[in-house]
Amino acid sequence: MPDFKVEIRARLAKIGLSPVREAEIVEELSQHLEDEYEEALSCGASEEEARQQVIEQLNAPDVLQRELKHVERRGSENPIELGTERKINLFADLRQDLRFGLRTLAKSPAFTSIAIIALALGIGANSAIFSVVDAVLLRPLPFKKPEQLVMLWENATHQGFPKNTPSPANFLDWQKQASAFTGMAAMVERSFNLTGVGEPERLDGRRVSANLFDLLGVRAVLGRTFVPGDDRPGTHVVLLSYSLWQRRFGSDPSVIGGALTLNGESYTVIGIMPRFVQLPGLANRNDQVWVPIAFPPEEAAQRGNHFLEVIARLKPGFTLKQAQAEMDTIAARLAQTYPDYNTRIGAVVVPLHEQVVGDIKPALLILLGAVGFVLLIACANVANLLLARAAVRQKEIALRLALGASRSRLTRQFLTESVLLAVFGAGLGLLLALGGIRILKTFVPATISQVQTINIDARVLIFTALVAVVTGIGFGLAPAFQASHLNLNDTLKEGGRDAGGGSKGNRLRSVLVIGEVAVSFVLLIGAGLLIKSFFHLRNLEPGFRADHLLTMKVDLSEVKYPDRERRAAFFDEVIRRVRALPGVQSAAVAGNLPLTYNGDSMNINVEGVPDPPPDQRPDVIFRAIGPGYFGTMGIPIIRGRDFIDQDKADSKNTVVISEKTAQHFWPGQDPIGRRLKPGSSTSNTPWREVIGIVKDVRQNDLIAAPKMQMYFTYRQLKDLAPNALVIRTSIEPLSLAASARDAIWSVDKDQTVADIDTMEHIVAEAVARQRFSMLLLGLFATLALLLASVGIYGVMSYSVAQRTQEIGIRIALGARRADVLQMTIKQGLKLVGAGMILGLVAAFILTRVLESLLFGISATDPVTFFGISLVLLAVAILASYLPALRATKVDPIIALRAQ
Amino acid sequence: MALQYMASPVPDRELKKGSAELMILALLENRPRHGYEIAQLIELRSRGAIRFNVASLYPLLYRLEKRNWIRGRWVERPGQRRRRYYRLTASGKNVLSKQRAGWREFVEAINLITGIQHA
Repeated sequence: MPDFKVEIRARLAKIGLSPVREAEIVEELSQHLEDEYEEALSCGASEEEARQQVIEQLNAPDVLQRELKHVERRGSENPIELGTERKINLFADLRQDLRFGLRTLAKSPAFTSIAIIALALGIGANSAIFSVVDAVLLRPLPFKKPEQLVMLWENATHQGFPKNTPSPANFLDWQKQASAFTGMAAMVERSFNLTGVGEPERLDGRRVSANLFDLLGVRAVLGRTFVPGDDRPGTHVVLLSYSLWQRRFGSDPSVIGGALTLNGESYTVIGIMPRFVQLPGLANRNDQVWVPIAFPPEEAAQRGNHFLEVIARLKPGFTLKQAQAEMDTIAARLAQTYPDYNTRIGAVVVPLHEQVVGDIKPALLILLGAVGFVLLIACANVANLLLARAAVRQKEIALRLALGASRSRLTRQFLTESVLLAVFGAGLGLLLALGGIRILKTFVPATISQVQTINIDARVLIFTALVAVVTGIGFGLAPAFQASHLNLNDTLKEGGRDAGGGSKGNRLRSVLVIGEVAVSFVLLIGAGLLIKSFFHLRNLEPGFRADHLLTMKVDLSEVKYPDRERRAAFFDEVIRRVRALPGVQSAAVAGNLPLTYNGDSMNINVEGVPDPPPDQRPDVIFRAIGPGYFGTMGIPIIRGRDFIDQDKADSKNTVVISEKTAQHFWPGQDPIGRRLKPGSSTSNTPWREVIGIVKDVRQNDLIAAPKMQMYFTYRQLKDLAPNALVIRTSIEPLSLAASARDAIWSVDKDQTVADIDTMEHIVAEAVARQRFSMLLLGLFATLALLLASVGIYGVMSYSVAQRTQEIGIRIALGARRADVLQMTIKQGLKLVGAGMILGLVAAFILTRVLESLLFGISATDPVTFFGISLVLLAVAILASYLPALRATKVDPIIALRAQ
Repeated sequence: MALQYMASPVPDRELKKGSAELMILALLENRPRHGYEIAQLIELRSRGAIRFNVASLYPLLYRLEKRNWIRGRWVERPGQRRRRYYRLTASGKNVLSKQRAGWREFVEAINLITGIQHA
């Protein structure tokens, strides 16, 4: 039989088919020719005749080449179909890769789902935290050219107030003298009782300079904002928030020009502000109304009363440094002119953005770093899984290489698979992030104003997509590289045997696990430190018993209750009715409950002691309270007595001081019966006799050490009224909320009651920021631990599977099961040990960034380091124990037969 | 004289190509066949009037395969060398029925015009 293959091949040579395709065509055509040859023979032709007859078909000029070229090279005559032309069609390749990738992933659902879940956790956590970081840190504040805006503070560091609220007189001087700013505006918080339309309501609001909204670049959506002149005393105009306008006035535009009763006085509504206008400031309040701040002459002259917040806009071309230098000069000049008030009082210029996000920034950045770590671990895990799979797929890869696939083509195929995984992971991750953000929002401390704007928006989606692609390529590179650098010869030679991963693959997997352990160790240490410091915080003595306390804001209208007699009559009646409620043990009125207010302190003079120089006068926090307050709050009286009903305007003026105040002014003596007065010795305020000493209370802040405090009974104060009610209950406090409010309304149906809350919740809120960081870092660390243990488990399982024969031989040769167990666990522990040593070093360096978030422990707290090491070790032992147990169950006969 | 399905000048070529496609599809309608078998059957059933040449049959098969009208598969049978069998795909079936109808109309039209009657 003649060899037609040579003839055919010669004619195909010019077409340039792939070797595989050419071989197929040659085989098929030569078969055909052989059949015809035999047929010709059987019809009686000679061999040569038959050969000639058959070859003749190929000799028609160029037919075969032309026709085949037509079909094989140019593709079909159908509409262009992607995937048919090798060199030109990148998209076709991609589509083919995607389809192949999808099929491959679908074929191993267990692998695919584990990988996708791991990635979803990593990517979801990143998207969620990024959405918070984006909303809080990255997005510009919603004002015109926000980068020019700054806040100005008095610097009274020597008194413990590095950023103190300026006094009106100082503010007015700054405004006059400074040239670095295009404008400067003041604001001060104020509550308003809205009456005359439906239920009385207490509204948060502010008095603001008339130029404030111009300065910020915020315009009214309806009507106008303030104009110069609106801030003259006696001008009663008001701006409403969008939500108040919607809620109380049904978005009625005719409200503009109408009148509103606020705190018993009539105001003209001049404008409605945009939906999301939130003024920056110390407290994050949801302002509902704004009125112009008018400084009557006596207020404008106040230099010792600090309560303003000041915003300014830098002139174009002025730097922060220049503005600070100018403010330093002005402050020095004021200190010279008014030594009594301004000695050692400086001025600080703080960029608005820093002012707004400064507190939360370190925590958010740390959390962003933490989720980055979690994602790294997830990637390492998936890379590990892919490596193990690549090892199993070695034969497939070798075959494809042998059949002519290029290595770059294979790499691309592998990367497509891993990016596919990442994209699915990102999709699921986004769903997780959506849920996560909803939960996050409830944990983000209320002091972060941008919390409402946190959402999955285009920016978060783009971030997620980027993360997905980068991680997909990141964890896909190693396996792709390894697979495409396969030694064909060796792999194919190994024949049907499962060709294992080779020592190189094992090494890479081990390195990945060591990395995972190291990173999760760092995260766990971080979380451990935060958790421990949070418990320190929660165990702090606030100075009162927070349990079973119901509190509410009861701000009296100055118009309706202008003097202490009327205030006392109202409060006495309220207290009487509240005490009569079932479940109430005691009740008292209070001025600014602990942890709800940062202000109200004054200098005092002690009888018989000369005034210290102005800058050394001690500052004492004061509160106006009613009788029964200490008992109700659970603040222990150490010596002396509480205020009683008989401490009235016409009786002896009294004061109760805190332990710290007593020690400062009367060290080693008994202060009871001694006298003090607000201000200096020359001030004409009356002397007050110390009647009691109580335990220190953390008034302003749960974390800082308590400052000196004193208490007055409001019945002996002309201008200061209590603004809160506190009730000690024998039952769940909030269950009394409605009846307590009704009791107040039964005395005055127009009285506003607001901020009903338990003291326990107020205390918890005081550490909300810490709780937020602790919970999240704890969550991420747990996630990291989980992922890392899956990683350890995976590598150990794989290693045991690979070593089945070796283990079988060992057992056959007499190794005891315990030996095998020990050997396998030891192997796992080696990896974990290496990871922990690395992690330990990294933790020592990295936990320093946590320092600003820690309380009561150092960033290298040995107990935490040790405890976390134990936890990690235990988890690691468990993760390698399960595969080790499987190793001991290896049946030597089966293991050897598998060979 | 036997019609040689080889290169021939247009327009003859398109007509022949179309009819060749139809023949192949029709032959594969009921069961898969290999190339030699297809060539044999065409010659047999046309009583020797139509003959396919290797150089034109296989490119045509590949083209049909590429259009996804037929699909070829190497099949090994005990005691035989492996052969590539072609079978009709679903879309091939579709095309076949359309082409059949088209040809029927065409032939009828030709008959009407040229007055050729069935015997």
